[in-house]
Amino acid sequence: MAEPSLGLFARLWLAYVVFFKVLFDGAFAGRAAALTQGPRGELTAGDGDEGSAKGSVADSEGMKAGLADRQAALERDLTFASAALAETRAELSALKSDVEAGRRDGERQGALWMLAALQREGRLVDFLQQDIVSFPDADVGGAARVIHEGCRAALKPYLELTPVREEQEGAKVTVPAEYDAQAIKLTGAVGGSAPFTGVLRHHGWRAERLTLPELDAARDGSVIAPAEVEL
Amino acid sequence: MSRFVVGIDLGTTHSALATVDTQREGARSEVLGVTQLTSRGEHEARPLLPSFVYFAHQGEGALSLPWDAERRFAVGELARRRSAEAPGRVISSAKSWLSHTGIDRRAEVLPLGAQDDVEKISPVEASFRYLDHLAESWQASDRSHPPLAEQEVVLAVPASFDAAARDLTVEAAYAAGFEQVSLLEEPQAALYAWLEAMGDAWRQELSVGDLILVVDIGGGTTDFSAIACKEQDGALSLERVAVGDHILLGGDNMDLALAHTLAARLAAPADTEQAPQPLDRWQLAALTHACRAAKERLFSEPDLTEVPVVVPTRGSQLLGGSLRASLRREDVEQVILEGFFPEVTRDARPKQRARAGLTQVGLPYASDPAVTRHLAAFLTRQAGALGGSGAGSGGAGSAGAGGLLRPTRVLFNGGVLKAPSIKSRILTILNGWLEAEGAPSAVELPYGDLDLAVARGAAYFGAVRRSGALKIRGGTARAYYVGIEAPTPAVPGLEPPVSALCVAPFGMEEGTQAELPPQELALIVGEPVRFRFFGSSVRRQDVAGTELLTWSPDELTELAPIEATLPAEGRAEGDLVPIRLGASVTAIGTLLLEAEPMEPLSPNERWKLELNVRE
Repeated sequence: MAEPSLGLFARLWLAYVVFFKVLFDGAFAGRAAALTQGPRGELTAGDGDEGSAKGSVADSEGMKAGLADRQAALERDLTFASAALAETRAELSALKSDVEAGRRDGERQGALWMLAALQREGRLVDFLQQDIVSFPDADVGGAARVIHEGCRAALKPYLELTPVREEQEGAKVTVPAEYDAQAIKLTGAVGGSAPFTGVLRHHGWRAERLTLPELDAARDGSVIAPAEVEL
Repeated sequence: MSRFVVGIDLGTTHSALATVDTQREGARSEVLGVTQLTSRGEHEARPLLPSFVYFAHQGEGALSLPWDAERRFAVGELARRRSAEAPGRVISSAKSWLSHTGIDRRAEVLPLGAQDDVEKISPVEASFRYLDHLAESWQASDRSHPPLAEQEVVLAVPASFDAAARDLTVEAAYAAGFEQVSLLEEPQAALYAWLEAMGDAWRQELSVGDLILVVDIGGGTTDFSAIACKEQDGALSLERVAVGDHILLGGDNMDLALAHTLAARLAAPADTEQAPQPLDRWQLAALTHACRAAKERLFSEPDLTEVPVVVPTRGSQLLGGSLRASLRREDVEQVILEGFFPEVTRDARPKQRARAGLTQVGLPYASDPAVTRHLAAFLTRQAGALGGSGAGSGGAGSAGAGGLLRPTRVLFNGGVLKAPSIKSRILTILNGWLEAEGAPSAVELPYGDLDLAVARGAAYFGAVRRSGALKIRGGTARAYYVGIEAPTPAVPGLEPPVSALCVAPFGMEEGTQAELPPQELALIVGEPVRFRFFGSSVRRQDVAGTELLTWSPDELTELAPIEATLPAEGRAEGDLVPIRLGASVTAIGTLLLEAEPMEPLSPNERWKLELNVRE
């Protein structure tokens, strides 16, 4: 057994590859099981030795004992295999929840980033956080220009918005029976049978394309805007 | 030959990179986004790389990029943003410094007014950083790409760059490891971009006798070139016949002028009775930014009469302290059109402002902001660009009796000229001049993408050069002269008279050389000898060896001095060695001046003359 010893990263990679091959390749899994279960391998070898030592003379007692041994070994194998299967299942579900958590974290980072970008370019957070009730409309209007221009500029490179429905608002539209309830919302006297005819009140918005910049792992997404200290 | 041909626009305010993949049949130039930090911890690829370098403060931590987690500086959008917030740590307009003949361009002078802990770098190194960033981003964008350094790279430089500035640009490219570099004048690159967009149809669009005026107004510089359509071997060919001077005047000046106009008018916060406070730097930067956006809207929407401009407060309270004003159409017309593009007659000349006796080291900005006066001066100075008095006189694209170069086509380039009203203003004024000369009107050659034309055109040029199918000829845009002091008795307070000896004639093509006949020139062994150095963009008739005893200041421009040092090897120190000068233009497109001893000790013994002398 002069197999070379592998480095940590090679082992990690191998473990990763083998994990999926075992899951999806029955034949490979069988071979892997044979490799991992020393007892069965040894038993098989012992079996062979026994056979050749005793010759062709059938010793039923010995055979029985051999069969019992073999059965015990198989049961051990079975226990081992089911334990391994359970372990793999647990790992898989842990992995799934890791991926899910990563996805949620990515979404969270993306949402926080967008808020930061809208603040950076258009001061949106400042505006939302300020109590504007006491200010005259002229001031609010002035701020709205900053926000409008800045936020538009902030979104433009990353987000392409298109109307869900191309028709003019106020136009008569027909909605088929198999409509996408996420993209079209029926209001008013909702009832009856398809096709539904009605007036387009809002054409809706769809994010046709969304790209986000690459964010550093070390970036603290919770900082929407850094405090500024002028020296 | 490399798989990709890469065109790089190393601009004063923005850089860009385009490539042609020669392995693809009929490949066209493509702009490759440049990965850059856009904010702390955020990076993305954008078509334009702002030409700014920001040096991180020690407490700030690394400015990580995907390919370098420990980086302490940033190139691009983040650096541009920081230029208003922490100007002492940001380099901008390095390219203008690269062509500044009044300073040592290899000296560590940038950022100007740097904080004490900032390690300054030279204009050459700043250019290197931009190129290096492009190379890194290229590699990171696609790992299967062969390194940018091994590709054929065409670097666009202003047509008005002198020999030294061209040399320094190549030096920066070599520092970035680029192995196959060549230079192309930016207005030519813009024309190549148009040619690529037109395809074969350009031969129908242009005809023999047409003269194309390229007007290139970028963020920081204005550049004019004239390119003639001639006939060569029965086919239409293009030849760049004239280039203008280096004019430090561009879109940034215009936005700043608008901001200053509005700053005077900005109301004090509405809820207080206090007098208007002068704007601080941050507010001025915000105002300039807002003015640029407002100006672009006014130029693109003819029905608008005014666009409100708001400078928000810096604190988290957005309402209450904002400064508001309106940018009116008449402001834009007054400040931009009348200020920078006034209607002038064809004999107008840029006003020279007397320099103050003591000036701070700074960029030699144009003293007259009127682009149209610079244009009138260019067309008049270059009236003889098409050569031969009589040849084609009276016809299109020639110099008429009034003494004006007469373009028939105009190609606009640079961000400023995205505004239709500025383009039409220039055309109207130019056509007024042409009409006064009795010449036909010039027509615009339309092209869409003015920000990226130079990079695209440079890449396209590199690709078509391989097939030899299409080349704008022209050679060097200047003749070069060495100042020779006449041996006269010294008179206190009187400079000895200097004659100018032409060493490199106008229009030397790449890979050619001009050798001087023997002259009474001698170098002292072991001692650096310095010569005054001049360039002329109008004296086309001088050949190598022509000696000028007098010239008008309009004809010859003094450049940074040049220097030769004869090593003592094989000769006695202090000996006087008679030499002659030889000039050649390398395949890259740089000027090489060499001193050749009349009695060489070994075959081909020559010494290079240094064009960029350290002070």
